[in-house]
Amino acid sequence: MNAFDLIGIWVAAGLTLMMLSFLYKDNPFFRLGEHLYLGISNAYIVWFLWWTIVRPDFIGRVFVNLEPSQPWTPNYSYLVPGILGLIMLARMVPAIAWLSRWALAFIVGWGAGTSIGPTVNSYLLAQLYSTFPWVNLGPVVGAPVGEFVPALVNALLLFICVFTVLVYFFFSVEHKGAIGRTADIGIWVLMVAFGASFGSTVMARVSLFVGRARFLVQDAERAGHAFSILLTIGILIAVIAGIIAKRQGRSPLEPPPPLDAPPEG
Amino acid sequence: MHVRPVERAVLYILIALGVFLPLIFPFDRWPNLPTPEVEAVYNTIENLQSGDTIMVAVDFDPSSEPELYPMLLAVMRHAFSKDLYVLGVCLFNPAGAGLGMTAFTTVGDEFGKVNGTDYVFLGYKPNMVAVVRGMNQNIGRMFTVDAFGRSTRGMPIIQRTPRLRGGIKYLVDLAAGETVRPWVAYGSTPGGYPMGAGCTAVSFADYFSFYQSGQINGLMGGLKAAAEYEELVHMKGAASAGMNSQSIVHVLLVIFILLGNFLYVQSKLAERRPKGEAR
Repeated sequence: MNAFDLIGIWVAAGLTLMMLSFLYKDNPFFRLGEHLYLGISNAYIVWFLWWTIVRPDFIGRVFVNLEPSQPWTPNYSYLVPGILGLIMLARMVPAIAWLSRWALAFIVGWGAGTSIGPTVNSYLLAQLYSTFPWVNLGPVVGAPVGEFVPALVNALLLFICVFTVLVYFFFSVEHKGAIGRTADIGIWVLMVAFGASFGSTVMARVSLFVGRARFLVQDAERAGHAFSILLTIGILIAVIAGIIAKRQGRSPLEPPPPLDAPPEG
Repeated sequence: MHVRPVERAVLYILIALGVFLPLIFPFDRWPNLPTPEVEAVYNTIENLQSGDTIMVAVDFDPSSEPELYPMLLAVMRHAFSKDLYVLGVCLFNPAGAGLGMTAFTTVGDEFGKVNGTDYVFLGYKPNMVAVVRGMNQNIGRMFTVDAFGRSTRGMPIIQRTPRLRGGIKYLVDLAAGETVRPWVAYGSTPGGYPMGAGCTAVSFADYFSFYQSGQINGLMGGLKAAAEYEELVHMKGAASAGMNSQSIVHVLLVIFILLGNFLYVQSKLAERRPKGEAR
């Protein structure tokens, strides 16, 4: 591990603990980490876009030969997207902000024209087709009963669930009688779907924490015990903050007023 | 009924212990049995011939790194162990390009593969729809340089596979956002190549309909799927290590939910009781 890697791991471990310190309460270390994240990620994105897109795809195609060893002729057709891209920045100057609408109009028009066909085919027709029970049962026709029956139940359940949810969202008819009862089933289907999504979301959030914890325990600890040392410093700071809070008559675990709140009185 | 600060602190501490202890004292007792959706991705890559080309789309950024990066490493290791050529691209967020560059070079070095010959990571381009359509026609025209700023003109892997349509045998999109849909609509469907996807656990339920409809032939959801893939390729890594913590936290969460509901029902019953009965 070279010195740059070592410094990088210490900084990453410190910033991770700064972000996790929000679990205790909002504090200047969390704010510092948050602002650093925003600033550095935006700077990285700007640099990366310049280096891999603007320079090779615009400057390198129109103005300068970036590969002197290769034959090159300027391609002035790239001036059109280049100028459209530049006038997007006109939004920052109120007097000529209207210019940016030309670029937006081009993007919206191109996007709508390009996406209507594939969107209908892939998101609507293909999904609709695969909802019908006979389509899903096709591959298991002639299969043993133990394979066919679960597939049949699955296919019917899928069709009924999609149908009842569609009825729930069909507002042109009042939800009374048979329609109302079908829509009620649709609500239950939606609740089950939301429950599945929520369960998956919890799993994902835990995974994010596990990922950071693994970095702290395995990677940072191997880099000169960065995790242990930084955690000890963090706990000491929290204890001192707790003592100060107690002297001020507040509970250390009480949510503090926001940092940017106006002073009382 | 709300959680008091002390109760919240206890919950946080229990969750932290559930996450950190299995990482500090690792064990290898709980298998991650592969599900059919994950096996489908594995089998597709396993059945390709040495010398075939696949595309791996690194469509995630650091905010989804714990779930999708282990998946990326496992898929890359599987592909390189089969001597496949691998094209890489990131069409989700420029911040994800750095992860792709690191993964491709790290795994490439592990297997002695040459950047530009055996694999290339093309980096990020905005306007995903246009880029996917363009790559189906001509990769070199869409990406004049790769993520490292090197010209793709004359790059052996681009000369072998000048376009996605008819050039690649499989596409795996590792997606943190909505990129699976455009890849299906503008990439694999018109391009005629099969596609599998890996996604965060949050998106798994959304993308399952694409798996059920056959528009993608395999689907890997979250850290668990990454651990399953590691199990399949016999290269246990970050995902397998993390699943011990994940499993313990899930048990804790179920206990918290049961306990919370029990206390809630108890408090409601106490409210309904006539006041004279209250002590």
